[in-house]
Amino acid sequence: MDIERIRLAVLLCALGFGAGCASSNDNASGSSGPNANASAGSTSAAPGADFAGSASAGAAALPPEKELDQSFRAPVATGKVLWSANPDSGRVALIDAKTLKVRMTNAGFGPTYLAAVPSEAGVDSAIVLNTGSHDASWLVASAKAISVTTIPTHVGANAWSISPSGRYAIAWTDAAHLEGAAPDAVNGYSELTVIDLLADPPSSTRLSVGFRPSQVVFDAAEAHAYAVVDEGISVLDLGDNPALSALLTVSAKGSAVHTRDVNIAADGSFAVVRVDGSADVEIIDLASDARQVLTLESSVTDLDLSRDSKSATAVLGNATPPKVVRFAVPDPSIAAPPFESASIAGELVRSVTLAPDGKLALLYANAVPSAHLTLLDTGPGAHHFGFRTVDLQGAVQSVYVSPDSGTAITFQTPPVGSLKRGLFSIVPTEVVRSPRIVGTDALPSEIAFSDAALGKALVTVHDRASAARGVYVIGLSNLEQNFVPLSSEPLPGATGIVPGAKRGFVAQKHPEGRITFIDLDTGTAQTLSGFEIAARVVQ
Amino acid sequence: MRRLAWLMFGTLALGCGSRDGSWDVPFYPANSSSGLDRAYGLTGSVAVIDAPLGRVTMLSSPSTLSLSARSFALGHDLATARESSDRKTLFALSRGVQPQRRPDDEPPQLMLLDGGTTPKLKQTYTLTEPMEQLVLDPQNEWAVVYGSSGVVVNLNELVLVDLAQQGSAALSFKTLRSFGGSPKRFTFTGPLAVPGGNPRRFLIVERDSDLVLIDLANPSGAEVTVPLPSTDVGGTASSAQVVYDLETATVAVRVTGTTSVFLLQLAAPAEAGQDFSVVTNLVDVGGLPATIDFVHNSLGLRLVALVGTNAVLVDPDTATTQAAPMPAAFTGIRRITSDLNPSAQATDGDVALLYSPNVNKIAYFNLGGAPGALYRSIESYDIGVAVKDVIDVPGEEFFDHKLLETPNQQFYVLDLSTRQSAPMKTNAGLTLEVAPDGQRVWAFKFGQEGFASVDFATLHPVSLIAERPVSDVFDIESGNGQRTAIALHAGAGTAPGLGATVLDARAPSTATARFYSSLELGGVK
Repeated sequence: MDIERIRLAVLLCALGFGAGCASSNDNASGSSGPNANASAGSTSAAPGADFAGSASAGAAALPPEKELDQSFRAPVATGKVLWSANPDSGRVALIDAKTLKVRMTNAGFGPTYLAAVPSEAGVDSAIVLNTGSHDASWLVASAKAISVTTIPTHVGANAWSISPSGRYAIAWTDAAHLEGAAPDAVNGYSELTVIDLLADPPSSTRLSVGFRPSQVVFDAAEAHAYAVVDEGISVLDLGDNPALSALLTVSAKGSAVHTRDVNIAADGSFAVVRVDGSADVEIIDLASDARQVLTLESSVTDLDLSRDSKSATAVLGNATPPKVVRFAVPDPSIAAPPFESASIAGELVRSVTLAPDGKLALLYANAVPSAHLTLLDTGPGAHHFGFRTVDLQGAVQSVYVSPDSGTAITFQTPPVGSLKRGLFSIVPTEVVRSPRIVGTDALPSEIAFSDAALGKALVTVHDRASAARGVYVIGLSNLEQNFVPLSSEPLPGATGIVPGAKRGFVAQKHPEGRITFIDLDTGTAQTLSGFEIAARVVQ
Repeated sequence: MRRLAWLMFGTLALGCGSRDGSWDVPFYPANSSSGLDRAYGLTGSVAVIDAPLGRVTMLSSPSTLSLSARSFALGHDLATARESSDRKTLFALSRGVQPQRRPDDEPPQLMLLDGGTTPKLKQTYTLTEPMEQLVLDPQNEWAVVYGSSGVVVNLNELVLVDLAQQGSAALSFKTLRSFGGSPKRFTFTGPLAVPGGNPRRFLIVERDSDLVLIDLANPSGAEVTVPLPSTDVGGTASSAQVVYDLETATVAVRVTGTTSVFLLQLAAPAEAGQDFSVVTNLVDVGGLPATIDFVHNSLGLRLVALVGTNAVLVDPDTATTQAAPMPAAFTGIRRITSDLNPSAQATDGDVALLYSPNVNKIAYFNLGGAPGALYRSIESYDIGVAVKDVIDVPGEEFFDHKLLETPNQQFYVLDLSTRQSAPMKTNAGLTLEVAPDGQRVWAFKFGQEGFASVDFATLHPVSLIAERPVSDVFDIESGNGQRTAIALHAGAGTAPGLGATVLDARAPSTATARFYSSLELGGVK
């Protein structure tokens, strides 16, 4: 095993390494950077900014940051239609988001977890896991008919990974999203099922990949799939006869998969791994198992890969002051750009969300209450690695960035003294403008962005106790928000966009099925309920 | 001598011969528990059911204050009777002789009697099985009989009678596809403009947990069964109200236990072999609706649902809702657009009257304004009494009048055009009978001698006292074209038999009234 260790540690800034470091120091002094013209009030410069909690107060003792994600149990959109499974009836509805025409088809016993399958034009395809019959129904809908192919899977699957071309669908068990009681400590959910949808009939191969998979991804060529498990990364050879080819161990410092943050490159060529409490970042070549370890000056509290997988951004949230380090992957070099770092003095920064265009890193903390969001300019130009911090009035829980990178939306908790149950903010990122802070009667729970051309977002709020629920339709260009009340409780992970129809949707809990469609051009809401009944009409 | 003896014997034999047994059967007025009313008011006659003899005595008035009685056999073992909505015909359903032991035993039948000034038998339809229930089409094109009384009964077996046909050609026997329920209510729609075909009428059968749609243009074709949605807590729901819109061929169903209204859009056939298809939708109106109806506003068709203190308008196409706050929790709605303006168009927007048996107000819901002005579209009037029901006034003169019946069966006369309401102080428990010519209303209380007439032109009440307790009052056309009021004395009070007090309906007065007794004996004596 070829392991190259690059030790940086405290050398980084001690050597005054790189322009980035210097730049960040400059920015930290508030002398330059995008925060220079920040308005007083909700948008503020970093130095001296107040925040809940304290970066210096026992930073090493702070709990790990929370990675928030969404449920798989949600409708999926393909083209201009929406697929919705009903485990109770055993049916899947195919709803035209424009006309609201409903077509139904029978799946297996308890169809629950849906995924869209890429397909040729004019054909909509999805696959659903039937939790009762332990199989999958592959659904292919043309204008005239819906075909259903049943494919066996392992018991207990609750998640899908679909290859980019739609040839492979891998059903696996995500222990983090199991329904019901907490899983037994010895239950590893190690099995997954590789389905080759191109085979005739579709083939199904069950493989045991390791203890508690947390993610399954494909490489660009669809020659391999990688399953992140507690032991490391299991490599699956695909082809006509899928098989497990290797288990790549990952840093011994974190054996439990949920204390480890494994980022796999979009093309599946390498993985970047951080472990809670460790300053090491491990870069693993997934084809050769070649490894490099980048040891930073402080423990890495969060790490994200850029969308093009050419750089990684690590947050050293336990450093004083916190630092952000960006470096090239898979071959980091401290001697060449883009290796650079910035100190975020006076702020509590432990998590990072990268904008899709790679020109912005949004820094925040959610393990301890902090109302500040720091926008770090990572794009080229005069403000490179400058930052500004905005005060969002309530503790930030999660940050989402629009596809055009122009707007961020934060989910927060209201401050003490507020009568509101929830809070979210719309934060312009490319221009210095006050954020739109929206107090809500229920907690924000889901978000969906339209494409950049439409420039809309949906934020679903929901409070089971008070029955307050609804969806905010947000105009990203003008920070407009309009509330659409929902008739019933929104389902987790069931807020989305049907791009082909320019409609958003929020699926809700209802015995007969209920989805509210929102025209993203006009904001008009249209609730379709009882589409299950349509299937039971006898003509 | 011998010849004389035989003649005397023969005369004696004739004189001592037993009379028809029907003369010994006492008259008992029918009661609703037997599925029959005491009497039915028709256009030119009053039908009084003599159930023990299986016959009906038709009382008519050849001229003012005169009375004529003629009895018609209604068939063996009368099951039920109904008058048509236009009051021109009496329908009588009989079970016939059961079990039938001889070929000439009377079969089950549906008999139609002309209820004009000269009553006569109009039509008889012979049925194959005895049936219990009769439903009549408000447009008098169809009748449905169902509910067999045989040893084994299929509750979903219907006989559709096309009243334009005669004999067996009129009958369509239909056994509804069943998932466990049986018919509860029937709705004959008007001609619905179903895309892809000519407008056609449907029979909607409400059952325990589903609806059945029968295309009356093709009654022998396959029916469509539409399951009802579940209640909001997942239980079995049942339908509480069915309304429809002709132009969009949309049916709305108020369903128990759910805040959603169930919409059925009758659409063009979706598959080969279909005459039409059904697209279902549920629209949440935000609470349990007390009532629903279709209305038009300036944007088009809307379903209105009265939910608490909100009138919720639903766009059936988009399922979006808009709420208009009401000044009180009204539970009843009656469209009065054409009562205010007979030439009103749908695009003008409807006007509806809102009322409730629990609220001492009525309100006018004006849907003709701008959609944004919905908040000021409801104008309420405190009339001091609650309203249980709104009774239409027929005819062309006082079509803009309504009778508001209170929960304790008092009434108001409401002039919609002037928005004036005239309270009529009465004893509680009155029954109202609006004259078919729309000129007056009769009010009486079963078992009391007093009754009254209120003329809509003057709102002048005339109180009258009959010689016997009154059971019913009817206003019929006389043979000479005048109007006659008949106050029946049938089973009210202690006096046996059937009597009638006959008055000039247009100038009622006990001074000129005539009393007729013992009408049950086969005619006017």
